[in-house]
Formats: sequence, structure tokens, C-alpha cells
Amino acid sequence: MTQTIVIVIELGLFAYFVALNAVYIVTTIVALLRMPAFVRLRRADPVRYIYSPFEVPVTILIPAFNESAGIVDTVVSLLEQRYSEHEVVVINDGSTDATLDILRERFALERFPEAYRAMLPTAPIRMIYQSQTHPYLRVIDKENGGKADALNAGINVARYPLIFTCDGDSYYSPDAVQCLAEAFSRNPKTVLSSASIGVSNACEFEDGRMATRRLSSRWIVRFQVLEYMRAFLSSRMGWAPINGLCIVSGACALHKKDLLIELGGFRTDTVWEDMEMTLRVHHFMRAERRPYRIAYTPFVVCWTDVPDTAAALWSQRVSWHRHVSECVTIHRDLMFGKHTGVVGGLAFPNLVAAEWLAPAMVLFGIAFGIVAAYLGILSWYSQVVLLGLVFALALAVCTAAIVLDELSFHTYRARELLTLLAASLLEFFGYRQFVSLANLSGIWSWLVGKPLRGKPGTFGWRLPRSRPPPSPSG
Amino acid sequence: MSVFDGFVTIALWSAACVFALSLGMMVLLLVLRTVAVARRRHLATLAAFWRARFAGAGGRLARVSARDAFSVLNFWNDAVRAAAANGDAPLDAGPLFAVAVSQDFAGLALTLLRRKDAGDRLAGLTTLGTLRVRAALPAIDASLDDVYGQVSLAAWRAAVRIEPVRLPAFALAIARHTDWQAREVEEVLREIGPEPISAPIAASIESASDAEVLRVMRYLILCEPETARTILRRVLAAREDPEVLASALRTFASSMLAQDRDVVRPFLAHPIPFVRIAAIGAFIPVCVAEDRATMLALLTDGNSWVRYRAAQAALDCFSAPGDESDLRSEVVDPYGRDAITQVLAERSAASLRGFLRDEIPPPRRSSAPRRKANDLRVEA
Repeated sequence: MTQTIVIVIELGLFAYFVALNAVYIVTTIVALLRMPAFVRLRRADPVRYIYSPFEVPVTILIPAFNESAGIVDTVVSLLEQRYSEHEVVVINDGSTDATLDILRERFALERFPEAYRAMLPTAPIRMIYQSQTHPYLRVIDKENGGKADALNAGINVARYPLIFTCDGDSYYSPDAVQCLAEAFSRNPKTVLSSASIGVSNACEFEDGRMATRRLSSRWIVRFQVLEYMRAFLSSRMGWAPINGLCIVSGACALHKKDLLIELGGFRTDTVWEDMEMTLRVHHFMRAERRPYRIAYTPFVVCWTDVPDTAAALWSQRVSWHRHVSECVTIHRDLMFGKHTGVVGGLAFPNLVAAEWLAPAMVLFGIAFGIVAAYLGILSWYSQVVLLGLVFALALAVCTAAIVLDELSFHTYRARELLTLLAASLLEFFGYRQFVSLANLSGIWSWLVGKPLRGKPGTFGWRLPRSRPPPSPSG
Repeated sequence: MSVFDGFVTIALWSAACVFALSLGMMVLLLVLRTVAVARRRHLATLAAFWRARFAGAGGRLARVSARDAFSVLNFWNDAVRAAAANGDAPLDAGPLFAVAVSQDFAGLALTLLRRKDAGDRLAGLTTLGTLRVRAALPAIDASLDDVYGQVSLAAWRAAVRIEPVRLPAFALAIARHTDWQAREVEEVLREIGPEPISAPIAASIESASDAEVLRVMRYLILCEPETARTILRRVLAAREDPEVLASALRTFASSMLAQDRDVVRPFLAHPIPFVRIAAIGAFIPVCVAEDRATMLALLTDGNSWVRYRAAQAALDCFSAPGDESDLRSEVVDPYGRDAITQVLAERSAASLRGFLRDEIPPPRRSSAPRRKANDLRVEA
């Protein structure tokens, strides 16, 4: 009897991990098939910077809380966007450091009598400033309310129909807005557009632009580079063609303003706002039976630093996974719901099974192995074989993502590629389990309603906002 | 052997196969990298060689291999675009054309057009269109409905360049294609010029649905003003869809005449705010003193964007430089006054100093420690 239970549990875990990795393999194959066309079309039809009255104007929102170290670089990189018509709105969300003073000095800010229109409720606005050197730069100084609240304040003052949300601590290539806006121009059903995000640790920047690309010497960063590759090149490229993207990173997203207002703006009662908004768009548009599309382009237009210490990574993943927990419960009706299509039938269940439950399954598998071994009922041979298969599948996904990057963008040098290959082997021994533990802690903090560190509205504020989906668990 | 043992055996073999696949991909990666390095070096040499020839440098021309066709034609297409942007001499009088003829770029382009890859087809179509190769028309026609928007637009561009009589069909295609970028269509229409495109664009609007009208109507600003006005008057009289009306009014703004005031005036009271906003924009160029009351009334509109646009219009039409504050004091509604204050502030900010690139803070070389994105200490 005991032996049968052990076998059933082993087979169950095995089936789960194989299915999970199989989804990754399918999305990777789709990405491998689609990517060459993207790259060669871009080579034959490069982005050209010609002023055109037919480009839809864009408002760029930069929420900033205590970003004094990097805010000027970010604003400069966004002011230099090569796009026909855009404005930049920085929202100082009650920073306690010198963020506002630095902005005021560098961009010659003057008080501006804006006729503020509170279409979305937000924390009180203290003052709106207008740059005297850059006519299309404004700064909103408001009381602290969190990133979502800051974005809502930005939507209230936005003059243009498209809203580009970004982070105060990321870099943007000069064609970032152009790249994202292209999706709206090519398909009128597009309501949200996103692009790939790169890891910028150890890279050098000059005047807000990437000057030298380098792979960090820290293994913890290298493991995250692999996660980003899998997430953006393999996973999202695979989900995008069936309109199944469940997460559009808040660090680099272009929204339709009308729809954001219709949806009531970003939710301020969740830890993050990006995944919730993406799922809300799906949920709303499916319920209303309106045609829509969430677009994705694989070109890296945004660069962000990832945590380079275990403590920082832990905090980041705890907050991310708490947000996943919030989202899957808020939007639980999407699961196999009526008229939810491919999102309810495939993408959302995959999110629940592959992202939300994965850490619990990984740790259950480890705990089960230890207990079974202790009780002497574990078949070591079968355990090693099953683990070996899961390892091999995850390794294949990882290697394919590196191949995809090399085929398309040649981001890293030869030695760095070898390092990444080594990292793809090493991440199974400690890193993935660490991330699973952090994710589980995120579920726990959500279950018990434990407040995250810091005062409400500021938690996790300084974490990079670019969220890759989970690693294929092993 | 039990069922479980069977599973384990299958798992063992599957693991071995997948692991071998991973190792294979690792080797492939290294091969790819080696090939890529060599290829990049080759492309750099190729680019230097051909760009010099396109600029008129002498020397023997090497035959372009099929492998390099995509790259060389891209270099050539880029050179043609750059020459057009610089307003250089006509293509058929310069070294670009001479090189293309002597090296049979038309033949290479046709080869690319037969390939499966969308990038290849796009490069081939662009070259064929630029060279106006009439013999390639059947091949070009096959790409007119390509699944990639860029490719189908390039095919239409080439077809219209070779056979201008296809303009009416092109105008209908503009209405039909939702996957064409407006700025690229604009580029094609600007190249053709206002006179030839006016009648086809006008005709395509007459018979189109509201969604199609929306896609085509914006290009009326590139047509002859009289044709545009005639069509816009008809659209405003016959259509009811608010988006169509707003789009028509926005387009009308660039070509409106004084006699059209009565056509636009009813839309100032349209129930949909964005139609009212578009109507105000169209009204600005033809506003006269008798419209003052109407415009000031719009400053009390319930929609903030209507008030904002009305404030811009009122300041444009009814205030001379220096007496803007008089207009502000004339407005009783506090929201309307706020709108005027904001527009005045925007104008004074814009007029102080225009945007100058070198006013951006000086370059700062920085690396990862520059900012502490990972510093998770939360402020107390």
C-alpha cells in the first residue's frame, strides 16, 4: 500500500514537471520559428526616424520614489526618444530624498498652473512643474501612494492617447517608443504593447544609452540573465501569437489611455500593478466580447538592473509571487470561464499551474524525497531517473533560449556564452530551490496578509519591475 | 516488469535523448558563434566595398553571390533611401543606378522574391520597385496580399511605381489593409504627389465602410485641398459615426475655408466630447468675431478636454499678444478660467526656450554602481 502511494506521488510529480517543461518547449519552438522573420524583416526595413503626423502621440510616465541616483539618466533617455510626438511626465511619489530637487535643478522646473483633471482618484497632488528647457517635460509632485497611484496621477495629466509606463531606474533605447507604438499602427485591435527587457548589471551607459554590454561577474546575476532570456525570448514569443500574454512588464509597456481610464486605472491595493492590469485587460475585453490584441516585440528596448545579492533577490521574488497570488485570486473567473477563449483555457491555467503552484510543487517534491528516503521507501533509481529527465528538459529549454538570443541578437561575447552555458547547468543546484523558497514565502505572506517591508505604498519600490515568468522547475 | 518500471525506463531514455539534444544545442551554439563572427567580418568588408561603389568609387565590381544578395540589396536600398532623404540627384542619373544595372540587381531581387523568408521578399520588392522592373510585375502581384504588412505594402509600392494606373486599386487597398503603418503609407503617397493621388483617394472614400473611411480619410491632408474639402463636406453631411466625424473634422482643420464655417458649426454642439474637440480645432482657422460667444460658451463645457481646446481656440482667435489676461477676466466659469491659465502657462513655457538637444545634461559615463537599484533598504 505504502509503495503504491509513493509510486502515485512520484508519477504525479513527474507528470507535473514534464507537462510544465513541455509548455516551455512548445513556446520555445514557436519562438524559434518566429524569430528569424522578425530579425530579417527588421534588417530589410529598419526603423527610420522621420517626423510623421500619422504617428499616434505618446505620453511617457515615469513614476519615481527616491530615485535620485538614476532619475536624470532615465529622463534623458526618454526625452531623447526618436518619435514624432511625445511628452514625458515624471511623477514624484512623495520621495524623501533629493529626487525632486535634482529634477528641478537639471531641467529648470517652474511651477505650472495645470487645470488638473482627476479622472482617476489618487493621493493628493502637491504641485505640477513644467520644464523651462524642455517644453514637453512635466513633473508632478504628489503625496506617496505607491507606483500604481503615481501612474494614475500621470494618466490624469496625460495629453496623448497612448501611455508608455516605465521605471525611474531603467534605461531605454532611443527607438523604444517607436518599437512599441508600431504594434498599434499595424493592428488597430492592439490595446497593449510590450517588448523585451535586458539585464544591465555591469553594462556601461553613456548619456542614457548603452555603451558597452557585459555579462556580470556575479553568478546570481547570470542566473537571472538566463531567466530573462527564457522569459522574454522563449516564453513570451510563444504566447504572443495566440494573444495569451498574462504579464506585460510595467517597466516597458504601451497602453491605450482610453482603456486604462475605462478600467479605472491601475489598482493601488496590490503589491505590483503590471500583471493585474494585463489580466484585467484580458478579463474585461473577453467579458465585453471586444476584439483586442496584446502585442509583443522581441527586440530589447529597455535595460534594467537585477538584484545582485541573495537578500535583494529574496525580497524581489517574495513581492512578485505575492502579486501572482493576488492576481490569480482576483481574476480566478478567467479560469476556464465562459468566453475567455485561449486566455481562460490555456494561458491563465498555465499561469496558475506553472507559476503560482510551481514553488509548492518543487518543495513538496524535495520534502517527499527526503521523507521517503528517511523511511526507506524511496526507489533511488527511479528517483534519479525522473529527476534526470526533469533536469534534461529544463536544460534543453535554457540552452534553446541562449541559442535564440545568439541567432537573433548576438548579445554576448563567446566567453560570456560559455559562462551562460555553465550557469544553465549550475542554476539547478541551489538557485532554483532558493527562488522556489522565496516564491513560497510570497504565497505565505499573501495567505497571512503579512505587510511587506516598509510603509504601505512603498514596499518593493526600489526593486526592478521587469518580471520574468518562473524558471521551468526542476 | 511493472507498469512503473516501464515508465522509469521510458523516462531514462527520454532523459538521455533530451540531454543529448541539449548538448547538441550547446555545440550548435558554439558553431553558430564561430560562423557569426566570420559572417560579421565578411559583412563588414562587403558593406565597406559596396557602399564605396554606391558612392561612386571606381574599381572592379565583384559578382554578388546568392548568399550575399540579401545584404547587398539592403545596402543598396539603404543608400537609395539616404539619397532620397538628402534630395540627391534622380536615381537613374547616378552611380547607384549604374551599379544596380551592371550587377543585375533586378535579377538578384527576383531571386529573393522567390524565397520563403519575409525579409528576403521585402528586400527584393523594395529593389524591384526602385528600379521599376516591369518584367517583375507578375512576381510582385503575387505578394500584394502577403501575410506580412510590410511585404504587401512594399509590393503595392513597387506595383504603383511601375504602373501608376494602379493607383485606384492602391487606394482601395489602403482602406482594406489594417496592417499597414500609416507613416509608411504616407511615405508612399508623398512620393507619388498630391495631384495623382487625390482622385483615387476620394473615390475610395465614397464607397467605403466607416472603418475603411477612418483608415483612408487621414491621407486627405496629402491630397489637393479642393478635393479634400469636397470629400470632407460630403463625409460630414452623410456619416454619423462619431469617430469618422472627429477624424473628418481633424482633417478639415488643415484645409478649411471661411465658407465651411457653417458646415462645421453644428459639430461644436455634438453630444460626443471628442467630436466637439475636433470641431473646435477645425474652427480655429476660420473663427471670426461673431463666434466669440460660442467659443467662450465652450469654456464652460462639462468635459475638461473641450474646455482646454476651447481655451486654446479662444486665445488664438480673440486675443492679441499682451491682452490675454483680459480674456481670462472675461470668463466667469472657474474651470474655464483655469483652462485659459494653463494654456497661457504652456505658451509662455514653450516660448521661453525651444527644445535644444545640447541643453540635455552633459554625457555621463557610468556603470552598474551608478545607481543602487538593488538596494532594498526601505526608508523608515
